[in-house]
Amino acid sequence: MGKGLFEVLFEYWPIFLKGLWGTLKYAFIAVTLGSILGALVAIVHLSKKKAVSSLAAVYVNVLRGTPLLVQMYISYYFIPMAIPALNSIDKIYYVMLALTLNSSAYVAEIIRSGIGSVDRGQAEAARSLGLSGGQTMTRIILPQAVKNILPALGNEYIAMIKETSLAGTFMLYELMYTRTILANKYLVWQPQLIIAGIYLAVTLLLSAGVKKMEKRLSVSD
Amino acid sequence: MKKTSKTLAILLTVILCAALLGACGSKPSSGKTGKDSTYAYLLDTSSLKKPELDLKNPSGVLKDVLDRGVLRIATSPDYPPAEFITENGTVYGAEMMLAKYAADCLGVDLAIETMDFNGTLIAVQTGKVDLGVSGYGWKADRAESFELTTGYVGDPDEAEYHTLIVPAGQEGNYNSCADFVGKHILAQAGSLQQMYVEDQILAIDPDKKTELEFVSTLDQAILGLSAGKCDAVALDGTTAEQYVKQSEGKFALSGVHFDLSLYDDYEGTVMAIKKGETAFLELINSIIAAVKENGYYGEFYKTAKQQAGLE
Repeated sequence: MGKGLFEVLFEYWPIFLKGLWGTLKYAFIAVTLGSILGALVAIVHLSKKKAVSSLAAVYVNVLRGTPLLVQMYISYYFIPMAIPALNSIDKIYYVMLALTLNSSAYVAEIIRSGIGSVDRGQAEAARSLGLSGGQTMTRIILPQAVKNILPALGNEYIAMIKETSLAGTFMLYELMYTRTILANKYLVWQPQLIIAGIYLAVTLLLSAGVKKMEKRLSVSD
Repeated sequence: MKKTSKTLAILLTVILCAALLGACGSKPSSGKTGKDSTYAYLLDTSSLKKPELDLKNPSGVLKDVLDRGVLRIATSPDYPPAEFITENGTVYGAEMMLAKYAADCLGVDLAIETMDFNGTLIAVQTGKVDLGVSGYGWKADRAESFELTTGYVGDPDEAEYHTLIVPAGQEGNYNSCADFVGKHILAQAGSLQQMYVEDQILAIDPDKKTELEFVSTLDQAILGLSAGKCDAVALDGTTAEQYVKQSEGKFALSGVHFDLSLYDDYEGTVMAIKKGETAFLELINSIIAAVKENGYYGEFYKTAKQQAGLE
């Protein structure tokens, strides 16, 4: 019915391109900032003091245990309700805050499990050879953990590309938002399929990249 | 390998910088009114008659608006010609022009926050915006949670109407609302059409055989009708005609129009204000009254229809 899939794609490709750029951009910022924050959370989580470590556990559990859309709503509507002065800040920052915090929780777990995956014997051997705790971590554990962490971060980026679709709810220009623009032109079914195709193409491409990286990193194994 | 990773690092840095710069978009600044307003492209009100407003001793939301110098509104831009966005994301629409008129009457700038339909009402309630302008209908339960303004109707010349669309070939089965009893109908949650279906179809169905299902955006309803998930979709006349045209013979107008005369002053579309802000409500109502008296809203509507490419 109506215009065909390719007709719509050819006519409106700049809209989809702009949407894709937005999606990649938001995902990239969220994962990059999320990685920095996530690394800090992971360090706190690995602390030997129970009280400190459980603080990070609560952070991770809250952010991983609630839907991202709910986090966006809380960030966008309830932060300004508590502090009205923040209302003049553009909505992009609220949405990015939710995306970044959400991503940081997942990254924290990635880093923690990456470090945890290094055999205990490695640390024991390093300590018995006289390396300090810090040296053991930076010279023995981390270089090995990175092999597990990097591909997982790539996967987190791929996951985040799909998660940013929720930003369309707040009318931010990303792929799902193109649906709203084209629905205003009474095109309803074509955009959905085109968007699905673009997401799939991008995630497949990036998955292939992550696979390649994984292979490269495992050469020394 | 080393070279590639270096190039990659540079590339990623460039992307990050570009992305960060892009994210720091500009924000409408306050203190600009009339022709200098952030949304000056919507409407030039310099030649329009404006109502006399009593802005002395403002309180509540009105005081905030005047102090701030900005009237903030929330809208879900998926309802042309009342509110819609163009390909580059610019907001247009008859209700947006009305909001610009209201801002000019108050002598303040306008700030439009776009979000999904449900979000607009949350934004009003949480005080994120001063006014919800998003094609709301007057509904009893909505009036309990919000102050609702008086209504305004888009097309006084060729009477605005609300109808149902059905799969082509079935339009002959429907002559009145009673014929939709026992059918499966889709409507946008919280829309005017939801109210019309509830008041005029569900109300005459004592056995509750009619199924009214809600969708969050209209495109979902159209997809539902295409997929045979329902018998009819309730929507406004302009939108209905466009979808029937786009469907190339797959959908048809049922010919049944909802009776709008039941709603008196609240006929048409209303705006939503935070509960208890009666002074602000009265002010907005007097602005709406002026718009209706001078026949401006009909003009806004016509212009917006052209801008949306509906004429």
